[in-house]
Amino acid sequence: MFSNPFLLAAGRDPFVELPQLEGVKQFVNNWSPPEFSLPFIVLLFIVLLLTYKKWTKPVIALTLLVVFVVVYFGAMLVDYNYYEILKKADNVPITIMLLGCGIFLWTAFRQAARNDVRLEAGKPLVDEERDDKVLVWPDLVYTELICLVLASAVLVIWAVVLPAPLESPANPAGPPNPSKAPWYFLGLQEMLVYFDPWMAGVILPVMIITGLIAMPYFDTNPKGNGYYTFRERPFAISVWLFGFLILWVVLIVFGVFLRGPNWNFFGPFAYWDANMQVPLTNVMMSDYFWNPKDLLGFGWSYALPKNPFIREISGIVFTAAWVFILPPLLARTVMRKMCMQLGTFRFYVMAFHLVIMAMLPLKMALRWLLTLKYFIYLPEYNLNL
Amino acid sequence: MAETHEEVVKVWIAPGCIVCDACETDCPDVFEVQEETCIIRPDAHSEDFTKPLTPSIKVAAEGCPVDVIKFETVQVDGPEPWAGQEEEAATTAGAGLTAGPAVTIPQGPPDPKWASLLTAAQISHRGRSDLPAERTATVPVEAVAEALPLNAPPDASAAAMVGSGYVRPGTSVAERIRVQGEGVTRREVSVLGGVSVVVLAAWGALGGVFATCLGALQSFMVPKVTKEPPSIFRAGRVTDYPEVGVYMQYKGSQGVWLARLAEGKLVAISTTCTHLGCIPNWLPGDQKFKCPCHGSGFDAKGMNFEGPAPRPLERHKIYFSGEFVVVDKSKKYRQELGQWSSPESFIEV
Repeated sequence: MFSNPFLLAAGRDPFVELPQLEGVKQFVNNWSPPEFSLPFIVLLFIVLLLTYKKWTKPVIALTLLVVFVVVYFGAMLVDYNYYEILKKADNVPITIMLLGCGIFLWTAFRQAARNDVRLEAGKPLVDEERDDKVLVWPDLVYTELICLVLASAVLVIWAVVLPAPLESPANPAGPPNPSKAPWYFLGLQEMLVYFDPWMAGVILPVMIITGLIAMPYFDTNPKGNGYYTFRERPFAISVWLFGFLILWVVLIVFGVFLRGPNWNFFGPFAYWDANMQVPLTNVMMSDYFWNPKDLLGFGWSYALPKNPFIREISGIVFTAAWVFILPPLLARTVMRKMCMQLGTFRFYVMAFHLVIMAMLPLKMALRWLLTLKYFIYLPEYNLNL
Repeated sequence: MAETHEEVVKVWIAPGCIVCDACETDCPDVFEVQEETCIIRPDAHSEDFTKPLTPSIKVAAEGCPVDVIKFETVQVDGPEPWAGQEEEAATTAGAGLTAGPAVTIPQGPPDPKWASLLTAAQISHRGRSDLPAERTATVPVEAVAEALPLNAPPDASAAAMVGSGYVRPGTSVAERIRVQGEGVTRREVSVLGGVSVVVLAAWGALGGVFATCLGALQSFMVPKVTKEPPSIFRAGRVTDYPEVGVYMQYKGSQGVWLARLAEGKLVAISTTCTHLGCIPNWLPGDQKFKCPCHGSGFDAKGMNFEGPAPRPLERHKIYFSGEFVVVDKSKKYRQELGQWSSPESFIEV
């Protein structure tokens, strides 16, 4: 039994009561918090990278797309909370972004897979065999004209059908709950949950920008230049896609769809209860260092030292080791070959950005596992990490 | 033989003056050294003026290092009128007599040599309709200038040129120079006057514009907007806060929670989250402040116990004024700096 999607837009009560789905919804809700879902998403990401020659086959990819669309939009028919999230005019770009990311990922990996198979067999690339030269006029200009007309039409229809929400005047005494940034900044807002504002609001965004600027300079691999391939540059593509898909797109989706009142995490089928009680107590690394007996049940127990720098010695040592010892360690062990290829300076610029980027998932995991708040906690000097 | 003497009737300066001041020192009544040249004073163009000054003019002509001072003399009957008055000068002048140039003024029809030269030379007539139309130069102007008898007085050269059609007869050169000198002065005065009026008006207008801009700037400095409410406000009486808990009545208007703590203190807590400045909500069920932006949580005392907030909520100065509770928001007390123990940060209740 299916409901007409247009009835949804008309505001009727189209929802299908399916009691047998309640268990599934509960399961999804329980597993959607990032501490459970993100490892699975990372696992899925790794599987996608490893099996890119299989899932990019058109039949499989189309099946995956159909399944995704059916589940993603079909769930709107059976759950009101999920329907409320997805139909919100603000959230439509997220749906477009998800579909867009999928389609572009498939396009790139499909061609990479075809090229890689040919490279392994010693055959020329697809582009080299095929004469794909086209004329600017009429081929390119016509295509651009059609795209222009279509894009304009889509934007006009979008603006008419889903007008921008007009909310009440800003009131500093009563900010909206939850208060959300524009959707494209919600990855940043999600990072701010785990870091000091200076770190997540200033240093990490600057590192993202400097990393993007520096990337062409420390990527000396001439392969993959002008054609799609994954086999010839697995590290570059994997790291880039991890940073973009996991640490940006997925965090945006979490921030838009799953962060509810008081910035609590809600499953996609959960009601946004503003009074939901979430027990959370965050502790500093220094608490674990000086007092593991109380927190972990073993070891020693000391009072926190008075001097803040001695108190935070564990976090300071850890951070210094992470930033200054880990890159040379990588250069001498697992990334030895890469360090020789890139040269010392390029390698350390790259490795510096890499370890800072890796700090985000590390901090998230420690927050979930140990409720760790900060490595370094020096509120006396407004210095926290 | 009747006694005669020479008297200077005309004096002029040939080209080549080096502006050395010697002539003005010898005869300041006639010569005037200017910045780039030396001129004959306008008064000295008259015969009556120069005659009595004959000795000093001769001295000046003698003393001129480049010999460009020329003069013309006439023989006058009678003894020298200045004899005895300036003996020394007279003696010197007498010694220079033979060197004194004597040029005859050409009279009558123009010298044919001159006329042909001038006809051949290209002379710029600057659009003057009374001069012949453009002609082809067969002799450069410099040749004419060279051919001019430099020793001849200016009006003699002019007279030579009159018949050639290039110089209109009439005013003598001396007269023209005099008129020109005065004219320049008059023109300068009038031009200066006109220019100065325009310049003054322009500067005045510019000054006006600057003054207007400064005035506008002034109103930027002192904007006509409602001032912030005073940082000190009266928060009722202690009896308004009878039980332990957080009181919201000044959250919207003042950005302050009044909180009565279990430890017997009344404190004023700032509503600004120490993470990124949002305004948290008080959740009575959880007994905590919870920020809607990034989920920072603070307990009833303002201690940050969950989420990313790096510091506890700040407290404001609170004190009694009579029976009223007064909060001063300009003073802040931070726990991590050990300021919450300050007696100004709470009221014992």
